[in-house]
Amino acid sequence: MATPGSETRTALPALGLRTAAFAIGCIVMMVVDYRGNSLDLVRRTLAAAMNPIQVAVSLPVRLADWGEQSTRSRADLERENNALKVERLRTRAELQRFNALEAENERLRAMLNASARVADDYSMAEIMAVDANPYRHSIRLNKGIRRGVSTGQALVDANGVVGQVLEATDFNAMAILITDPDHATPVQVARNGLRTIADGTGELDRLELSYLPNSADIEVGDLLVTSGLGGTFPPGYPVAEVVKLERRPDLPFATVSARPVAKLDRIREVVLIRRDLPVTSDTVEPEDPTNAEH
Amino acid sequence: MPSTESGRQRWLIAASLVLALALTVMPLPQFLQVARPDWMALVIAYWAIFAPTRIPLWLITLAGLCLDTMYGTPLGLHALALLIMSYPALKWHLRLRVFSWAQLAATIAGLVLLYEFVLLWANGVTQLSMRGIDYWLPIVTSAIAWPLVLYILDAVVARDDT
Repeated sequence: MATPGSETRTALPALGLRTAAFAIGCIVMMVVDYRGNSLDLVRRTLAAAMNPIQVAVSLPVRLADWGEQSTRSRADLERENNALKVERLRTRAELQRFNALEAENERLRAMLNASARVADDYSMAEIMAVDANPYRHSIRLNKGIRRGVSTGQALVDANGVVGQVLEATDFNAMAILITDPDHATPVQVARNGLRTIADGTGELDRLELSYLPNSADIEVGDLLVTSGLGGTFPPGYPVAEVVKLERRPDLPFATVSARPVAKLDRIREVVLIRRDLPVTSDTVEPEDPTNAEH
Repeated sequence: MPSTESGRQRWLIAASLVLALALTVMPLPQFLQVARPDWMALVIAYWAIFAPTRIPLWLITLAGLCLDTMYGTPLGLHALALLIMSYPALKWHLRLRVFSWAQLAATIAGLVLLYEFVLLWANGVTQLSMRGIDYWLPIVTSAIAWPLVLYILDAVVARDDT
């Protein structure tokens, strides 16, 4: 035997005992962390220490992006600029109509003595090129608590709902997508207001509506929007479009698949919706179906 | 002399652990993500076998906690898996050192299996869903990646010793 061997044997007394002690410590920590957020400080400290690693890892992709951006031709940029101008004009024109509708809605709500809707506040965040758990549909945002991101915020892209912030730390935040197998989004059919829940499936292009009876009034092509139940997602944002519908008399529920309208596999940046005030009382239910179980 | 040498090795261990963390979150194409080797487990297994006095249990625990914050799992989950995995490596490091190249790779596969099994069990307890046969893919890819880890860390350590 070499000398380091005998040296280590004396230097590591009762290895089994010490491993057991550390393992029990870990189990206790897991239970405490799972039951509440008393270990938030530990998590935030570690996350802050991890941030440089994550930034460094996502740097090559960002550099490639930057390189692509800075080497584009003038003609390309001009074309894009023109397209954006047209787009902006069109959206502004639509917004005018929307403003009038909003004012009208407010008036009607006042007449009904219903509480006014809370205005949403938006902020942008970029998605870091960082992978983590392959069994979760999660993304990491480049903004954290220091930049106003908080746990439970809803994320949307230009087309529809993307997901929600699962855990915000100082410098970045982890969010899960609506397609995560543990995520459920409270939705309603835009056409008739039928409320249900869209479960994630673990596939980026499919959600499942598991709790609709065979007799439910739903059709292929129906747009699903957030219902606002649960309080995480503000009402009225598009979520998915029904693409497949199967009614089998021998099963209690219809099999309904929907495709998310947000481009979940191509998003680069997301819009965070901040709601400083609680949602109107008539849309809050005690149960919170959007809470991802973890 | 021994103090500076151990100091340098301590830096080497820290650097290898940070590198393992970076490799853990390095972006990969979607289909490769499930096959990502467990870099942290490999690096810790290496140090546990070849420098067991330099990798104290608290460092293994800390590395596991770092993985937990990256994965968003309950704090302590990966730490527990790493501790349980490194126990046999620490305990029998002298025997493992005389193993042949292939024997050692097979043993590493066994250790990673233990690691993944603890993770699966603890995930089941906390109701995180993980399913499918491809869950066990990292065991194979870790065994394939092991010679690389062995070669690189051996080379760095050897250069350090001279």
